[in-house]
Amino acid sequence: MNFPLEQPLFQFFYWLVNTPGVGAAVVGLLVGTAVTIFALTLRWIASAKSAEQESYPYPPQH
Amino acid sequence: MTDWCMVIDLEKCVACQGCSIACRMENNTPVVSPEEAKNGRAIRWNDVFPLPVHFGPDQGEYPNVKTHYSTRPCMHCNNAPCVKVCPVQATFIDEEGIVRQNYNRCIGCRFCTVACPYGVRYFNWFEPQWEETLVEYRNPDQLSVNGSLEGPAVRPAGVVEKCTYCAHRLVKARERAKAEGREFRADEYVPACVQTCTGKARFFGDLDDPNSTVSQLSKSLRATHLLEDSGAHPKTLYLAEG
Amino acid sequence: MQQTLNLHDREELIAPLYQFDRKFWTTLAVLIVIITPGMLLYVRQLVLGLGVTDLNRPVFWGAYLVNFIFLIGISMAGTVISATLQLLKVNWRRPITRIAESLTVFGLMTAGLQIIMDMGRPDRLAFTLIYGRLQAPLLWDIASLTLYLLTAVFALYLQLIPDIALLRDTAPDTAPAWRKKLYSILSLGWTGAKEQWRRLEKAITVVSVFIIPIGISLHTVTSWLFSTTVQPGWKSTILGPYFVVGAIFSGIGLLFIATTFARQYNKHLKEYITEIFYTNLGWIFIVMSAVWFYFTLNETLVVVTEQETLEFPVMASKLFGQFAPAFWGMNILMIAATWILVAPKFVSDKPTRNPLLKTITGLGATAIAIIIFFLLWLRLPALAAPAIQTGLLIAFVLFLIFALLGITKWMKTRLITSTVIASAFVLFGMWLERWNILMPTLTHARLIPYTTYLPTVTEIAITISTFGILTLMFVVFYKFFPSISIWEVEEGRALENKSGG
Repeated sequence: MNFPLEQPLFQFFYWLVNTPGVGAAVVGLLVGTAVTIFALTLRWIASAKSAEQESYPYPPQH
Repeated sequence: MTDWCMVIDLEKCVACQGCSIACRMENNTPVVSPEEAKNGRAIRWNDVFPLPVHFGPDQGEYPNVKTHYSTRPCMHCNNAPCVKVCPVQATFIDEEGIVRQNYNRCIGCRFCTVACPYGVRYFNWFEPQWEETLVEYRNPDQLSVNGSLEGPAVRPAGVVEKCTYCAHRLVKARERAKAEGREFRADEYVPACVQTCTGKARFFGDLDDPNSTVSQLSKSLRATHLLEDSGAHPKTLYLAEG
Repeated sequence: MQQTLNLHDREELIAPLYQFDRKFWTTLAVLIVIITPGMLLYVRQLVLGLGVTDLNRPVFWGAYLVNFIFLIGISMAGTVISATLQLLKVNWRRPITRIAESLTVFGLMTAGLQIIMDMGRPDRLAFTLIYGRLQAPLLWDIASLTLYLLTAVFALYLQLIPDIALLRDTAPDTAPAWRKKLYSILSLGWTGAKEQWRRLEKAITVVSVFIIPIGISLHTVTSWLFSTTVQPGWKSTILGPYFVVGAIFSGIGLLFIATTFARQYNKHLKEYITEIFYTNLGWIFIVMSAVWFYFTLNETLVVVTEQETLEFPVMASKLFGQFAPAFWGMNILMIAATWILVAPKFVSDKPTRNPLLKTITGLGATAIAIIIFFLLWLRLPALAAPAIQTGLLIAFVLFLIFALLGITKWMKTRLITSTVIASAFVLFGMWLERWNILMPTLTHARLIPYTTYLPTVTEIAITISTFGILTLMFVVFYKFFPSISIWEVEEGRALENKSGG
């Protein structure tokens, strides 16, 4: 019988979706990636140094 | 590879509910108060109920009345909807085709109970309780491997439980064979409901063995599955009435 | 050059953040009174078990799950709408982006709370992360919810940075030291340099692009919790988009209510959140209601026509069975909301001589309609003849139409009030819609006799408590941060001046 689960590739896929912990790893990867990207973006924004000030309608002049 | 299977001959079933009671004593299912039972909280791993389910049990006009009954253990589906939706693998199909439940892993999200088309899964709404003397007659057996808790072990509140084809009996039978230094034979293991059945309507055995009773019966023209259209590929077989 | 933040704005938007007046404490006290009973009953549920609810076999899911879907729904709209408007460079979005984005964050937090309350073993919550299985739809939901929550918090924070820096720079001397320190840390050393602005705007645009699919995925996955099962009434391919449309629909409703609440709470906001916002978002609201009706018709008509043995009893219980009040109530609420939104567009705002459009006609017709309703409801034996019953029914519908016509003129002059009424109708209707999706299927199991489900005091109190918590978060958050994105409003003004002058 030509049953997909007899092929190693599909067996691997089944292992992937059925093993406890793999899902956790995927969620962890997603969250980790997102948090890293967000943190790097914030650092990228904060690190911008420029000589000229107030070239834009903010902040208020004291 | 063994593939455990139960066959229920509805022609022989007398709806005595003996299987229900045997299952209760074997698997320590807690008793609930009548009010709770009325509210749908009774736990019967092996239920006996009138057919058709939804529009009254009686068919025909008096005195030509016929009432049909059916009995329903877990179907131990090959493509079990409950196993597919469990987020933590608290319920799983073991190598011998039995769908089992790990009470130490279950988070009580009740997705499996919702997904099961047969309604064979039960939730512990409260801490299980027994009347004082009944506690002494609880089955001391339990299945526990690497911190899991299965079988007739007393369940904590908030977890799901279900029929396991008395999987602890299989373990016990294997151990006994091992201790006696002989090969384990498939007919050494039967669930409590099969053992007790008054009308000898239940058969149990290895579906993969072509000579076993269940394999022979599965070839019967009366052999059918419950709700075959649900796509769950149920394993428990029924021999249709009439 | 356009003067930047003027003193006027500062007084109206920043000064209230430091005023812990009686109004604030009263609001807080009222909210705590609303929240407490539910929390106490939740502790009782923790101790005794989930049996204190009315959940049973086969109704294993109940009010908590309905709340969960509803809260996910309202949370979706905030950021998705704000991001869409942002990308389309719509100018009237500026005063409401902050409120919209914060609603997303708070909605998601309370939605997560519902799942924990629904679990039989909340102490094993971490198991979903330790033993998570990829095949389980619940895990997809966890992944999607976490990602959306993180992205929404990030989007909210990005928008907040310039305002936090402003708060840091303008804190009055009387402000407590810890608040100054908090603002100083959270502002990430923002100086408003040109390069910083450039990078911030770039980041905001990128996040806006990504948050829309994430938001849609969350609601679709939530619908998959149901549509991937084999239960009649759920196994439908339309459920995903239906949930998304319902989510945006109810989300706009909550956005209207939250904005109006903020306007009432801080009267100065009326200068910023003007009627333009109500008119323009009102049009999107009307479009969403049309799409929602389209999907509802699809869901209903197909099942009614095919009359399949498993699906039809579920639908029949909605049409004339135990769920008929909820189903028809939902439809009436939605029709009324749509009428309230659409009808005023067709009348002029000049005084009218048409007696049909007078408020007094509307009130009179409403009174008569109510009387007829009670006559029908009481089923008096004197009026039992079919001809009289039919006549009464026709009269009821007729007077209802008169009532709706009569209030049209009144609504025309009160755009904000009528929008809020419509929003409240939509929110309640959408909650009922979620109820109508979940409950009929659960009560109509295949091999278990049909049952009923009515939430107990515990479930009702916890539901009320949840919405109390949502409001509490909203109120407390806006004691720390301005409820209007100051820099975005300033930017909008600058752009207006540029194009105008």
